[in-house]
Amino acid sequence: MVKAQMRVQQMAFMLIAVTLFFVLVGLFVLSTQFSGLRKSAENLREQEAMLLASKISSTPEFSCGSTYGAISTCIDSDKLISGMEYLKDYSDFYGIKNIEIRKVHPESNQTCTRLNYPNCGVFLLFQDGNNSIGDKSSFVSLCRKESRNSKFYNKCEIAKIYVRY
Amino acid sequence: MKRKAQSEIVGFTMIIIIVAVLILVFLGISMNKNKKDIIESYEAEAFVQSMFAYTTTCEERYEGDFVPLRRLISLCKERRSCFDSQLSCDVLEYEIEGILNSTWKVGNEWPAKGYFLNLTLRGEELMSFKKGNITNSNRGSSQTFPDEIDIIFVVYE
Repeated sequence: MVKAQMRVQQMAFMLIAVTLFFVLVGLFVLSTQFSGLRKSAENLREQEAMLLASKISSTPEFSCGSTYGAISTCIDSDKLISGMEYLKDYSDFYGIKNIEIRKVHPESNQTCTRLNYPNCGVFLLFQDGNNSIGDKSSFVSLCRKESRNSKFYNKCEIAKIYVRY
Repeated sequence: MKRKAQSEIVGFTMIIIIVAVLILVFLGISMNKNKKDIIESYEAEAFVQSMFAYTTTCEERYEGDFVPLRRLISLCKERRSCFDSQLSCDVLEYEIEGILNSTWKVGNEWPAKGYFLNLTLRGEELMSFKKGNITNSNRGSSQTFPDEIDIIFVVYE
């Protein structure tokens, strides 16, 4: 009887030990997999932001075209300020609630209107902030034509485009 | 009999402890990222591209001939001056510092804890900028532009 009890005890200990071992292995595998998942999710989020910014900046209403040379993700601020009023009707076309383009260098918090352009830094489009489920941002070049001594030259600054959807 | 059973249990326990320690060591090594590894970041890439297109205050041949940062890097390599006699390298350093300070706020209260930017031209280091602290978590971009301009930009989080 005592021998049998000993055997049962031994079996119990062995089972506990084996279970603990496999739990530790499982934790190890999960932790390595999850760290990879987090990196992938972060990368995907960034890529999505980049694609959205590229999509918007490549549309004729925003894009620089060949005017400013080969600049990727370039937004023409002269076009933007001219067309801001009619662009409000394009919210459904882009499938987004709000676009904000904010100059980061040189920095300016002044909202752009036809009266203060180009001495301003924030372009607000669509402005439907209701029920927005998320936002994305990416860097863009904000370019315009400037003149000096009757000569025109390209002036490009660094901006960030925020898209809310 | 008792001693045999006890020694068996002790043996089992020792095996479990050794395996657990090994797994913990493995975990520690795998979680500890190599500081030299840069995680590619589209945001950093987009920033570098828009920085290179930035119109600087350096005029090259005449008044109004403002050059983008990309062109200013080449002028700096050739040790040329701007139209107003300022050294192109001085203007380049000033412009890049200004851009980095405006765009990437670093500190404990900001998402970015530090950054590092390194500019090389035809394999030769031209300039580098560093601010804040280096951490294990980073995002960056390593790009090559025409005229053999290489730029590495890393943001530490």
